Amino acid sequence: MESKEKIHSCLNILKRLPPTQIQKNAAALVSLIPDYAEELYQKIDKPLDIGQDERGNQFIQSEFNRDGDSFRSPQNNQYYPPIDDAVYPSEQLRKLELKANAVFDEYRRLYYEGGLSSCYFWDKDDGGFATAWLIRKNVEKTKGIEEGSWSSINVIDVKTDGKSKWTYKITTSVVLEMNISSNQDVGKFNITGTLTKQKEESFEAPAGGKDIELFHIMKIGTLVEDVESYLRSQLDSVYFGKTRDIVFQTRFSEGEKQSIQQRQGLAGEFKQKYG
Amino acid sequence: MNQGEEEITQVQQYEKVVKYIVKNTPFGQANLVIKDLCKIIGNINPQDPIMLQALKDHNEEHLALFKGQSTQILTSVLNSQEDFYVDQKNNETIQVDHEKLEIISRSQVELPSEPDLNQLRDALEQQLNLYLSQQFNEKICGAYVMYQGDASDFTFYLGITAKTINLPNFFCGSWISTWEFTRTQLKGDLKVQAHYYEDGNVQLKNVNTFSEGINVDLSAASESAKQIVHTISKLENKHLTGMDNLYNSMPDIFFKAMRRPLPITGTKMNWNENVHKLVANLKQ
Repeated sequence: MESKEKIHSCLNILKRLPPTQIQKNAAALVSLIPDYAEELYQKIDKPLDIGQDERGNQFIQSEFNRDGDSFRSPQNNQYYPPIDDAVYPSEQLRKLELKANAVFDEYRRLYYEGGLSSCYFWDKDDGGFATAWLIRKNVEKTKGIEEGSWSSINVIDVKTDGKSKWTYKITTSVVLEMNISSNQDVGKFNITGTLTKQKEESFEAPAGGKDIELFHIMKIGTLVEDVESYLRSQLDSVYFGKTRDIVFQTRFSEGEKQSIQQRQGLAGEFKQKYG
Repeated sequence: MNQGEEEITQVQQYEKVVKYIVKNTPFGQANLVIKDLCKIIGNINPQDPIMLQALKDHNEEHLALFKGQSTQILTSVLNSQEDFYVDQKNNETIQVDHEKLEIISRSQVELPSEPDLNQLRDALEQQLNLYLSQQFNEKICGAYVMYQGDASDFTFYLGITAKTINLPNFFCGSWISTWEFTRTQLKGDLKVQAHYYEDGNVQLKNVNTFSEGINVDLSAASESAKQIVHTISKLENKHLTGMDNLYNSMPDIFFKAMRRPLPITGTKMNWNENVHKLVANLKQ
């Protein structure tokens, strides 16, 4: 199908461009194929934006609480700017949403010591539901960093077999940026990254359906914690470090190339002598 | 608006987007990006003038290296003419294939030449080649030296580049450094880029500028060349050391500031306890 191919090509290109510029880059590509705009925007992970209600209470703006150009606040369930005929979670789900936000806020406090978190829930036709647990953290002018930002987007699809088994499928994406605008030694230094992971687990709910809401929050929360921790560790120890390796194998540090050649020379001699 | 006018606007839009996307593509991946752009736009191929122009700009900005039978040339904005590149040293104009990064043809041409400056140029070339062999990835590396003016008033232009391209393992990087000097002043611009995209997408973009006072003695070409390249080498080494320090401090000054690996308690969050406590609070 033609549209699938074009979207696939767009995603290929976006993967080769800086991840925090994805909104701008996607918009550029969408101008080439305006009919596929919605479809492309739904498939991309971009840094999360922040909105606020009339009292200045902040909440995260995302695809998961958006209707048209308005965004729903998880605190008071209102859309900003206000609209008629908008999409809302069912009453039951809204109760779960309030509880989840309270608990996730504690998670945010423990791991992020700042930043902003929001959870959004929506109903699905199959008797299950889905939810997005989001965090946006900024770091400004600290220890030489001009600015840094972290966005985590955890989307969990929740299904039941109709009895007591619940299956949680999580897709987590982290979008990061570190910006140094004028360092004495390195000048302007900008590093951006995005990484995604999926995981699926099933659990038996406690008998009698008691406290099922707390059960959901615990299971989802644990999954979020595990996958976020994994991605953070990967970005820190593997991905960012890999860019360093790439640079240092392009332009060696002083003396390094000589010692590599020396080692290779010795290895060659050894091979010759002892076969 | 009639059909003709509408088409022109659409083509201009394509051109704008193609230029922007290809410009921001890491060196080594431009051909793949252009293929994908063709699929998106439809009814266009990589040899279309829009695509070729975007590729040409991309190659010049990244000091792309073009190989011939026994030579190579770096292309930059400086030696670029509409259809060819100028090789000052060999008095040639060179035509290239931007997609294959190959030299297509060369023709002799008469260029202004200053014997005193030629001496310095040759000495610089020698020193730069030595520098390249000592400090750079030899798979893809090169340098150029050009000058403008005469013995009483000159400007020399130097370019140094190395690339790492390993698409099967999803990474590539570029080191692009351009310099110019007069009798008393050396100035430089450095662009360092890296891209790793196995399952994820991480990009480094780093730029720096340098400026240092020097003293060029045209009558001692060999010595002057050594000093200039030594200064460049010193400045680039310092930059690299700065990068190393930054990377070493990244886990602490950046990642930890973003998100702790564990809460300050040293243990993971107790969901059971927290869920019960916080939801109870909500009810109140």
